[in-house]
Amino acid sequence: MWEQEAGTRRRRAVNMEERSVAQGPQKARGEGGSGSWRDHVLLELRLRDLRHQQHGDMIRAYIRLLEKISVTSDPLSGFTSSSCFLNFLSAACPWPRPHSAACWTLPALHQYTQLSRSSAELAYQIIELQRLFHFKQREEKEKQGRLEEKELLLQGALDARRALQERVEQLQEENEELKKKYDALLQCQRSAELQMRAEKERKAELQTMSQVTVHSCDDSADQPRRLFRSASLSSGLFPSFRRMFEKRRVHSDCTEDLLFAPVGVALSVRLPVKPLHELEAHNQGINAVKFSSSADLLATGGTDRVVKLWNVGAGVLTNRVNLTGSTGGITCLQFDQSGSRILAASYDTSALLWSLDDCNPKVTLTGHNRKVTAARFAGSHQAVTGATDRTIRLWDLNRVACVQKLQLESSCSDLVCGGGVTISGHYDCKIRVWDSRVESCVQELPAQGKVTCLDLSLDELKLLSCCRDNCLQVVDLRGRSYEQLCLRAEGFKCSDSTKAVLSPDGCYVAAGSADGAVYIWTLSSGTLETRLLDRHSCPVSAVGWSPSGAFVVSVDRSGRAVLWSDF
Amino acid sequence: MIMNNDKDVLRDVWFGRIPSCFTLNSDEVTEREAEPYYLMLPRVSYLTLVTDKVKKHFLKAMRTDEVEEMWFEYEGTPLKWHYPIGVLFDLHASASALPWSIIVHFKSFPDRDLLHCPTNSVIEAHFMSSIKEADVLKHKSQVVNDMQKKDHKQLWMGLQNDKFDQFWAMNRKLMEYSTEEGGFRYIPFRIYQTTGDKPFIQKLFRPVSPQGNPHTLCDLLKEMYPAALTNDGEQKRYQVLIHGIEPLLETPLQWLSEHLSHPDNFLHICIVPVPTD
Repeated sequence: MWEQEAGTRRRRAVNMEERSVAQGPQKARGEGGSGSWRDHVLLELRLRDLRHQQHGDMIRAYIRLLEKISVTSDPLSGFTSSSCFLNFLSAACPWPRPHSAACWTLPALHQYTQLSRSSAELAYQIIELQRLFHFKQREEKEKQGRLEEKELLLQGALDARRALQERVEQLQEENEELKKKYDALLQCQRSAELQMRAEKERKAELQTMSQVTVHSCDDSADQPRRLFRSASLSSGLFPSFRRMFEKRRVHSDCTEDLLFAPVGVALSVRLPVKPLHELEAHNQGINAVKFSSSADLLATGGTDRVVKLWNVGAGVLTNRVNLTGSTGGITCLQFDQSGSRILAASYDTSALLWSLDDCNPKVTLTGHNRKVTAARFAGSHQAVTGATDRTIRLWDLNRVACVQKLQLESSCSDLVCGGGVTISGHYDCKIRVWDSRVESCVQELPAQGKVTCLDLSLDELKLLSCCRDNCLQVVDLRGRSYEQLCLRAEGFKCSDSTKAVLSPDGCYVAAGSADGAVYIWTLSSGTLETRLLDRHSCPVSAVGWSPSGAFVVSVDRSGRAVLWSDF
Repeated sequence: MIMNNDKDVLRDVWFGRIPSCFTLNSDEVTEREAEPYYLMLPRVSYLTLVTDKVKKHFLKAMRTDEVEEMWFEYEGTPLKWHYPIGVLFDLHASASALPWSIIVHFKSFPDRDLLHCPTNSVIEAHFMSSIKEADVLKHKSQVVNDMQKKDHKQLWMGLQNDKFDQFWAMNRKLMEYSTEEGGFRYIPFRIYQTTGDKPFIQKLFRPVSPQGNPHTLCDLLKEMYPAALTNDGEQKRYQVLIHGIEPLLETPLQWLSEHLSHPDNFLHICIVPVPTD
């Protein structure tokens, strides 16, 4: 209301101003009309108001704006707008146009809205960032917690490790102790073992000693076998036995002249055709039979460990003497040149030598590991033995010691000695000739099969070998290229221990067969001459031909001996 | 007798405004930069009555714990609030450029120069005492005493709320005089000057000469402040300002007192040196 009034007053003031200007100062001063000083006052007042109004409008607009701004209560925009206003005021002094006041409010309002928008955005961003910050703080806390957990675990693991280490050390110490104890015990055990072994050896030796003594006390084979097992022999007995074997001396009997006893030459060999005498010679099987070279003595030996000597006279075998002392079955027999000694090979890994005047063996040759298959005289003072332990040993009969040992590839089944050489037949189908001076085989002769026995002719020129494939070979020992004669017969079967012989004149070969017959071949023709049948019911193991040629004796597995002759 | 023109005079006098710019003293500690506050100050009112907004404006920038009573200062001179604003302006800043730059202080209240004004009731008391004093001079205080309390209140409320009609409804009673007198008994006036030890000159002065001639402004000045009058041939040295204007010297004093008085019924006259620009 008063604005309008102010406006009218202003217009009136302008009019008055013009009027007063037109009138001039004289009128205002000079004329003393009652209105002049009143008019002057009025005029002055209006001029004054005019002067002040210019500012007044602006200030009033400013106040109004301030009020509006303060209503919205935004300090920022208040600041901005007031600063705008101020800038405008300071720039335009002192008479700005009233209407321009309206222009600057608009940009101020624009800026105000923009700023409010940007401030809102910033506030939003602040909130977002704060949220993010809190979130990250929480994450960090979680991680911290997990880290602490892991550290605790680590700590626990370290502690466990330490404990385990201590335990390890402890166990190691215990192990050390146990090991020491074990070592001590091992030592004890070893010493005890040595002791035990020594004791065992002692026991074995004593056992053998005791067995020997037992057998030597036996008088007859009928006596029951005494099992003498003694586990404990007094240690005083054992060394004396040892000494006995080590230093056995043979009384020198001047046996030199026995070497060259005359050999009876059989001028007439008669083919045996009929049995003269049969008898059960032994209790058990007979393995070997041999005529002595001189006085018509027959020796038989077999499984019952006894060598029986027989007189062959008037077609009858009469027992003369029994030689005991072997602890095993007899495998081979041989008289020496003089006929006063007998050498026998035995199953008990030894060879025994008897003198005919004594029942007990004079000499026992021990040393083989297995059964001795053959024992032969090699001269008057030496003997050769072959055994299934693949060795041939040469013995000195005076010293009772083995002077030579030949290692072979194959077991020796039979031996013959003659002319300074030893000939052996082996299971590997070979016949080997050995010279005692040389330790190696001088000659090797192939055989048809496994050699079971050998026989040498009296003139030492022919060698008979019996082979496992039911064949008899005769080899001429003269000359390098040997001639071989093979004798076979239908029905002739030989075994591992069949013994065949050559007739004294070397014309015939006699061998016993598994079918209980004695087969005789003629050497010159190589054909079977005759068969001696029906006397044996079991396989014939050995055959012997008397040096006179008159008698043939065959022995078999049951212990029967049959004396054959041609009359 | 109030003519139409006189009514305009009254209105112009009542609604006179001075554009002013309040600036916070730079020494004051602020949290934010305090911006100057612009206001149209009513000439007839008092500083402390119309500067509430100023205070609020500046308090926004200030820390509230360090705020004491607000006081104003212009070019080093503390402004007395019990003088009407128009008087202060005419006395100190009539020659300077508008807007009137007032500096606002909140600290170091100059107790020797200014009165404290804690509440509006102080202003009211001062205002009412001025009116009574004026009426003593004018009517031997008969009119004022005949008025009721509510009439006094109406005078104050009219001034406080800037209600011209409300105020003059009561104030015209104080402007009446019996015809045989020819005017008031004495004219209530104060002559202010910037120099001198006395703040103002206030003496008894009859509006009508003993011969019955109405006294003019010139007569008053001759009596009270002859230095303000220029003799012929001399350069004018002083301005005689009432409500920011220089009335003619032959203006009757009675008319001046009736129409150019302030609401406190006093005729405040400022003698200022002529500006040398």
